[in-house]
Amino acid sequence: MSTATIDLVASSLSESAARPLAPGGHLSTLIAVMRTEVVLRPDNYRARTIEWGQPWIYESPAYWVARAEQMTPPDSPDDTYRLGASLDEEVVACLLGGFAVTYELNVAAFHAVRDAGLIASDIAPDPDLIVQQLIRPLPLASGRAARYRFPNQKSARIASALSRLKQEPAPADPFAARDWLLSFHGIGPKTASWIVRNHWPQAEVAIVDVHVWRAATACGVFDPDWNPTRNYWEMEAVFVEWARHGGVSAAALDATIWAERAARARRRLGAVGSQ
Amino acid sequence: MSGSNGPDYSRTGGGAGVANCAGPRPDKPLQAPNEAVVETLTVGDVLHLSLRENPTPVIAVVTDDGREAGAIIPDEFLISCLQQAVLYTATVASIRGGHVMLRIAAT
Repeated sequence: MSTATIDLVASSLSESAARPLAPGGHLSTLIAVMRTEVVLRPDNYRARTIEWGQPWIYESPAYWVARAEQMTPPDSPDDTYRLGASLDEEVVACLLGGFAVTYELNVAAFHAVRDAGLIASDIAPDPDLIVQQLIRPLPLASGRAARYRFPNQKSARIASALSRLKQEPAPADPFAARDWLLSFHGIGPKTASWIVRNHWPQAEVAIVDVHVWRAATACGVFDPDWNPTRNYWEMEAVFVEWARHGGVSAAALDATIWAERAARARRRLGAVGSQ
Repeated sequence: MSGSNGPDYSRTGGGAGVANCAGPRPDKPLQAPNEAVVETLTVGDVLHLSLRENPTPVIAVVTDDGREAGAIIPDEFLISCLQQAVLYTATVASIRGGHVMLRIAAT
C-alpha cells in the first residue's frame, strides 16, 4: 500500500473551461443554506462529523451514495463482485491483483492459473507451476497481450495460500475468515477485505485502496492525517458508517468509488500518454 | 481492482465501455429544482447542461436565457465530455409535481 502524500484537490477542473456558479444564483444560494452536518458513529472509534453535501455536488458524501444507488440495482445478484467460483479461486484472484496490476491483467493472470488446473487440484501446486503460467504473455480481453509483473513473488504467495486453504477449514463467518486470511503470507487488510467482500458481499467491510482513500479524504469522510497503513480499521469503520447512513451497502459504495476514480485515473494516464 | 490500476472492467461486473460522448444517456431527474423556473416548464421544453465550479463540478441545468432550473447528479463520464466542450440538451420528458425527468442528449 502506497503511503505517498495524496493529492486531495478535486483537480478534474484544472483542464476544464467550466465557469464558477453564479454568485447569488439558485444553486449557489442552495449550497450556502443547505449545509447538512452528519455525525458518523463508528463502532469502537471516535464519532466523526462530516458535511454531507448534496447528490448533485460532485464527490460529496451524498454524491457517492447517490451514485452507488444508481449503479447498484436493488436486485443485484450476490455474485456481483465475485471473480472466482470458490473461496480458493477468490483468494488466488485477489492475490494476483494489487498495486501496478490492471484489472484486465489481474483477470487474465487468474484465468491462466485457474485454467491450468492449479487451483482445483486437491494438492497445493508447486510455485514453479504457477510461475510457468505467469511468465508467458497473457492474453487480455482487449485482444492485446501483457506480461505479469512479479510472477515469482506472487506464485510463492499463491502456493502458500492454497496450501493453507487445502489443509485448514475456512471459517464460515466473514469476519472470522478475514482474520484467518490475515495470517496468510502476503495478505494484508486490503486484500483480505477484498476477498471477503467478493465472497460475502453482504459483509460490512471496506476495501480501502488508493481510490477509496483519496475520494473519502477529499470529501471529508476520512481525516486527512489517516493513511491505510496506520489507520485501516478506523477508516473501514467510518466507511461502513458512511454507507449505513446513506442506506447503501459498503460493497456498493466501495465499488462505485473505485469504478469512477479508477476510470478517471486511467483517462488521465491516457491523456498524458497521448501528449 | 482494490489497488489494481484500472478499470478495464467495472468492479461491479459490467463493462466500462469506450468513451462515447454522443452515445445515449440515461434519463436523469432534475435535482434542486428552482420552483420559479420549473413552474414555467412543459414537456418537450429544451434546456441545456452547463458545467460549473463550486469548486468541485456541478452540472447545472439552464434555460436558453441562462436561468438555473436546477442540477443533475453528475458522473465522471458526463463531466469529461462537458470538459471536452461537448454540448448537451436536457429535454423535459415528464413533470409530476416538482419532479422533472430530463432526457439528456449531445447536440
